[in-house]
Amino acid sequence: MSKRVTTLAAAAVILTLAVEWAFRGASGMALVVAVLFWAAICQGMVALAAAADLSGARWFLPLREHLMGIYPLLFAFPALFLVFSANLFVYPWMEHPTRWLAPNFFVIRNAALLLLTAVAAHLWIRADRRGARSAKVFCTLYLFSFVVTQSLMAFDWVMSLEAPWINTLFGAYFFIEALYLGIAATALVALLRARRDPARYRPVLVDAAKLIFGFALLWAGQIFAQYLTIWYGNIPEEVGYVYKRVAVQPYGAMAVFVLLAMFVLPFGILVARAAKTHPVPIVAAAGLVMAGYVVEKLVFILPAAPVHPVALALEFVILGAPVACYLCARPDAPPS
Amino acid sequence: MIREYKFDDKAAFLHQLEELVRSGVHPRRLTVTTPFHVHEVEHILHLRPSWLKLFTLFGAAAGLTAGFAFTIGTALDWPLRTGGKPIVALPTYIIVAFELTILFGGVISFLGFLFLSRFPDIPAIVAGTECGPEFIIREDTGEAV
Amino acid sequence: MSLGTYFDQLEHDVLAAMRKPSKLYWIALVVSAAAFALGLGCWGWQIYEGLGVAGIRSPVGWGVYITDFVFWVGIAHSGTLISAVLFLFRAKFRCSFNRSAEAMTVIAVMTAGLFPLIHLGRCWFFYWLMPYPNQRHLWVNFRSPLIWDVFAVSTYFTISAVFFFVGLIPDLAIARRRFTGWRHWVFRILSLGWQGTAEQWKHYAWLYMFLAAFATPLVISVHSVVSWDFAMSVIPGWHTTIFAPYFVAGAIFSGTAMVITLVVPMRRILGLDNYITVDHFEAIAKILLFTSLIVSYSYIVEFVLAWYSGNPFEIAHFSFRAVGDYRYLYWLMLFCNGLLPLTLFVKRLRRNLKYLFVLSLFVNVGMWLERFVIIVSSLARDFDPYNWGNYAPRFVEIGVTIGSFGMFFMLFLIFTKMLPVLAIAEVKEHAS
Repeated sequence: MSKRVTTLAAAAVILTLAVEWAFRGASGMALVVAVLFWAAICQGMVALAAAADLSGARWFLPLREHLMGIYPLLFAFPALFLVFSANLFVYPWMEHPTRWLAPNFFVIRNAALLLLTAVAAHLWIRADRRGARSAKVFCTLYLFSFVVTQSLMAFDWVMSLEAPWINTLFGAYFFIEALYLGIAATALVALLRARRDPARYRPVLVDAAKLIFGFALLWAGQIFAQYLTIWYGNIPEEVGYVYKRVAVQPYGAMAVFVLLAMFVLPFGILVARAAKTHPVPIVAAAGLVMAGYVVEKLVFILPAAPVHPVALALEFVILGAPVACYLCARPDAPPS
Repeated sequence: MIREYKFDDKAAFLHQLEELVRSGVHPRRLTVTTPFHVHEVEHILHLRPSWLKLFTLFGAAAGLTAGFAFTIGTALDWPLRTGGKPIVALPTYIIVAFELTILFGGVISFLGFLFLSRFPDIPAIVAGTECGPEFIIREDTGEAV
Repeated sequence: MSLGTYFDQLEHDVLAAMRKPSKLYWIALVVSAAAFALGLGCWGWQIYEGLGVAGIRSPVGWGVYITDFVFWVGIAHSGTLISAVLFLFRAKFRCSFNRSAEAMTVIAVMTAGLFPLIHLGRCWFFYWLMPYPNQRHLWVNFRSPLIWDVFAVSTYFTISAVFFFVGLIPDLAIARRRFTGWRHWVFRILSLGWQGTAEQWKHYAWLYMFLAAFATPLVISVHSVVSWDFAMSVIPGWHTTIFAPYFVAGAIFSGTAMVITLVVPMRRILGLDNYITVDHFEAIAKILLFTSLIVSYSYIVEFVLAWYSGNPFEIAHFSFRAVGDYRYLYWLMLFCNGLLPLTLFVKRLRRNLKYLFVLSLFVNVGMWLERFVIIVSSLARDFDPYNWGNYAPRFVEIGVTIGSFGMFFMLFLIFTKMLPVLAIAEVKEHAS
């Protein structure tokens, strides 16, 4: 399984390189959006397994091995970021680099963090499979690197498009969203498994659905905290950033869709007890969350930098194929 | 006549309860007291789900409505512009409405609990009826003593 | 040991804690009451002389009283986390702590609620904060975070008190059975005639779950609202989006430390070692470590992003925090909140109750200092240098702060003798 995943990941990197070369810079931030989404899912699922391990949560156990096994895909992301580095010209600070926002340092630190996350996951899972005591140490290291990597994805990849605007919650917001996406993906996997083995996987499905419900509320709290602070303060340094994403069309309509897709609809759909075990509401909620995430990143990025829709669609599918193949794989496949 | 079965052990208690129901004793003739909540009792005795959900839903809806109605109503009643904010400043009113949703939802749920459980049970308080640490089944056999 | 014997022993041990107090208890109670009396005296003096006897004046209009308010509301949050959030996550270790934690919540919110009154100066006008029809046709300003606070903290107090009482009902029935005299009558009335029938438990289980489900977003929203007292302003150090989750994590952090501060001696003095084990404390220590990491993350992000922004006011403010007039408090805060809790990565230390107790004291100090540093340093150095000015608390403020601690410990000590400190029914459920 691991070899197949690694092969698929390598193929995805090569295909993405081909797409980026074909577009020759016209793709803009398309690869960033695709990487943000798939990295959030992959890193989020591994982070969920790590958090469940450290807190001794038992609900996760039937899915644990399968979700941890996605870690080889994490090695694709540093390579993909290096592929993206050819498009750094979209960032406004490239004209006047500073000590922090300088092209070489920018690429090196982000690629290094993505690599560290992948290596930490690898060390943890390898130690875990051997039953080594160092597993807990590497598990903690993975979570640290996950938090720092996601935070820098927020501050460096997205927030710096509007430099010198700052939003201190942005980093935490991104890693909470990564966990949110991880749970949505976990719910879909649990649903697939529950069809074949309901006794074992239905409790996992119910718990995953409850977590989607809880995270919908948590997400809403985070986005509200950001919006309220900026709206209320109404200071020129930051209110313009929100204004052009909320009051200017089509971004305003997209923002409303994000709110519906990531909070209102999953909350409303999953509030009923019966909905937490039925496939249709769960697929709908998980799908909406994922769609909402992509549109939200577009709302953040589009007013400041271009995203070629065809490049985005191609890279989305290319990067998604290995993830989808892995998640839909049969549960009996032993980890190699 | 009331026949009483007392148990220290939960498994033995549940087994006896199942036996009684299976042997044809109507659940309404059985009164069960336990030292803690035992989910299985509700399945065995076919108890209807609690109506408490309705109180909670009503309370939360009332709180949400009251929160928005009150804030928007008072703002429109005396439209004072403060801090450059609009008269109907919805982001700020969401917070008040959210808190009142929880407040009304919680308090009305509690009142619903008291109502559905018939608390305070004045006859029981006056009589000083006790409940022990055992699992007890009381069967009303319907026979004369 | 059979289950029946275990239940009997459990009831006996927990209710034995409510018997005649020891000399140590009386000394602790008298000291707490004396501190409370000092606080009341200082407040009385302030009412008589006016708010000028306190140290707050322009530009630092918020000082120790607001620090205390945020501190006590923060302490309250951990109780709800342990009761409600851990209940929803089905964490079994919670049932040895949750009664004490819930009592701590209710008492801490009561203590916190006094501070807006104290800070008003003319506290008899407090009702102006409530929306009621008046002949001036005035309503409260719902756009102000101070009014959101009124709603948030009132809601929090009400729901916490209801949750506390509901959790107590089955245990009050147990106490009713085991006590005689006037206490028997008090428990008889307060237990509402509880019999533990299937119908009663059915409704009870639903209510408990709904209250836990309501209390969870409440935990997050209340301290977010308290943080917005600051974040809704525009001054550097206050106007930042991270305040909401930062304050919530900080609240749970300080509250968990206070749970350890209270429960470690309580367990020893009341002889509850069999029911509140070292494993339970290790689980709580992990929560302490986790929330400390979130708080440290927030410190780092705020600091680094101030520099990143290039905003001279932000940079100047964070420099002032680190090297300015309050620098010792700032570095002590970083040590107590960021550095010291890292030692909890060592399992041996997580399981050492003496170490946990001492650490919790440092965390309590560190978290009080954090609120002080945030509030005072931002007000002391805002945009215009002409408007700069330092603040030092005066005797009245220190006296009231000591009084708040006195009130908290006094009420907690009274709780340990009046009500069961462990959730007996829940411990029975887990034991079976």
